[in-house]
Amino acid sequence: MAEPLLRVTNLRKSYGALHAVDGVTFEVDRGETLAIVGESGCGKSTLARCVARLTQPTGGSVRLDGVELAPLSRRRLRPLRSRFQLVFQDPSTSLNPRWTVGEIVREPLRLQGVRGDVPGLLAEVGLDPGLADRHPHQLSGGQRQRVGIARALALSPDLLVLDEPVTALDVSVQAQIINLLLRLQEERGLGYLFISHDLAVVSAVAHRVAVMHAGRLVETGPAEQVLGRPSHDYTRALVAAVPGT
Amino acid sequence: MLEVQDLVVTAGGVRIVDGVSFEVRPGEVLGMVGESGSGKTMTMLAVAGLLSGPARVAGGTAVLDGTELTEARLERLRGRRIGFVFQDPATSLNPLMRVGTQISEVLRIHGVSRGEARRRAAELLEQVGLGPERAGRYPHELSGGQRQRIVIAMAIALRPSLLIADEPTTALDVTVQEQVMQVLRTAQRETGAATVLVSHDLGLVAEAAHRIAVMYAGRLVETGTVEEVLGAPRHPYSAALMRSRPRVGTGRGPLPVIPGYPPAPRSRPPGCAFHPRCPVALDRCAKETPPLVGGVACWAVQDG
Repeated sequence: MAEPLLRVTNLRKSYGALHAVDGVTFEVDRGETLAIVGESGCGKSTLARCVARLTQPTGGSVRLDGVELAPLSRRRLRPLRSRFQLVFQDPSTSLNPRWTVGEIVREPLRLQGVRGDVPGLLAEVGLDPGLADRHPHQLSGGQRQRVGIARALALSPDLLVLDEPVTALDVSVQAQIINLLLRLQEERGLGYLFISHDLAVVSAVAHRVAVMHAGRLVETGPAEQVLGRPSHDYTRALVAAVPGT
Repeated sequence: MLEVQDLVVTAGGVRIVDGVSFEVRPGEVLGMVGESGSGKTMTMLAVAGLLSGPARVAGGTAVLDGTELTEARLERLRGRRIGFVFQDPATSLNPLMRVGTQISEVLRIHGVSRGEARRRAAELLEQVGLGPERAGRYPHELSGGQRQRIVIAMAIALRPSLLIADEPTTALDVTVQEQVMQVLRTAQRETGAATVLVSHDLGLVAEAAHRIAVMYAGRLVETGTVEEVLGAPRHPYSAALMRSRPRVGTGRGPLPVIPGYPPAPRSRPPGCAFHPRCPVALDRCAKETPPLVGGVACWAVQDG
């Protein structure tokens, strides 16, 4: 059987006695979205940061296409960096305010020393390439998140780790970005690790859902099963608490 | 009863809120919904006399139980007749003071004796679902949900006739959100306060409000009961907003979207501000601003 795009096994991240991520195991395939849902402090953002290697896990394994990332130094990780990218919640804090949109999207290309098509990337995420000369503060929240996505796509990654990518956006803009992510996934065959507290958003994007509570995954399965017929008490409480459904 | 007539708020010559009128009866919860920049929070800050920076009331009136809310009067009425619950409880609480003392202080400032204030504070704690032992805690020793309960206790301490809750649970986790909303609704029922619940969350408003007011680009575009506005929205913006909202259980797939973005206050289009994004816009919509008639501000609905 072929290796999944991402295989995370018994991943752990501790800060002293606090086990933020406490033995988490899952897989994400090409073209597939696994959503990790849970409340603040459950460890889902730490998990995202461990997978994206913004922070070093305490233990366990993260394999991308069969290649073990966990023991690699920063230098040895660099060529692999292009394979997975992170999209943050708040585009206004993750984009350098002094750079133009063009410079922001070009940055990962520059770091890897490769050429790329910045106007093409902007067009692909639904931005007028004429916006390349603007600064982030001249854009709306939705446009800024599109810039964040264009930057993440610049090196043609296989996997996007999306940490609450639509949480800071208004309802109408949220729907636009969700649709954009669905289209990009289909066109590029991307695997998504989608971190969110919002079960309604997750319902629109996820093939599979994993519920995280106190550093552990308490339930994993197809989205319609986990959200429709939750088996764990904690999942049931989460689903019941969603207002207006 | 709160009656707001033709309220206009400007900032640097730009109309942030542009002729908003609505009423809230005692015991009623009005859900005010809209996206960022729609003017929903500015409207309520203006009513309460809490505008800051360049924003100021440039027209219209707000009347609470027959008394016009002027700058001078608001100074006295806030706290006593008007209670607030804001998104971030930290902005309403003093980090250096025990929470029980903070609740008593609200009463003391308005002339309640020390002993009576302490007794009432204990009652209020119980009313918001916290044990009396919490009175001795400092805000940082409580969870976000508990802090918001303290803020609710302070807001209802003097049995206000108007309660303004602006995104009261947005910063909280879903399971805590539900509990805090329950506390807020009980407090609202017990005081009989006319309540305005400002929120971007349509689901939350659906559960907590009696009536809904939808704002877009500084104007009210639709008002009605929860069943009317959420069940059968008439304004093309409200209708599109309901459709674009993801729901648990609808399954994976693209959502119906509203093209474009809401306009910034200084670049609002003429006529109906929604017309460039509207699927049923008429020629008239680009020229004349539709008034709110029969609960909806739309030429296509009114002429059609």
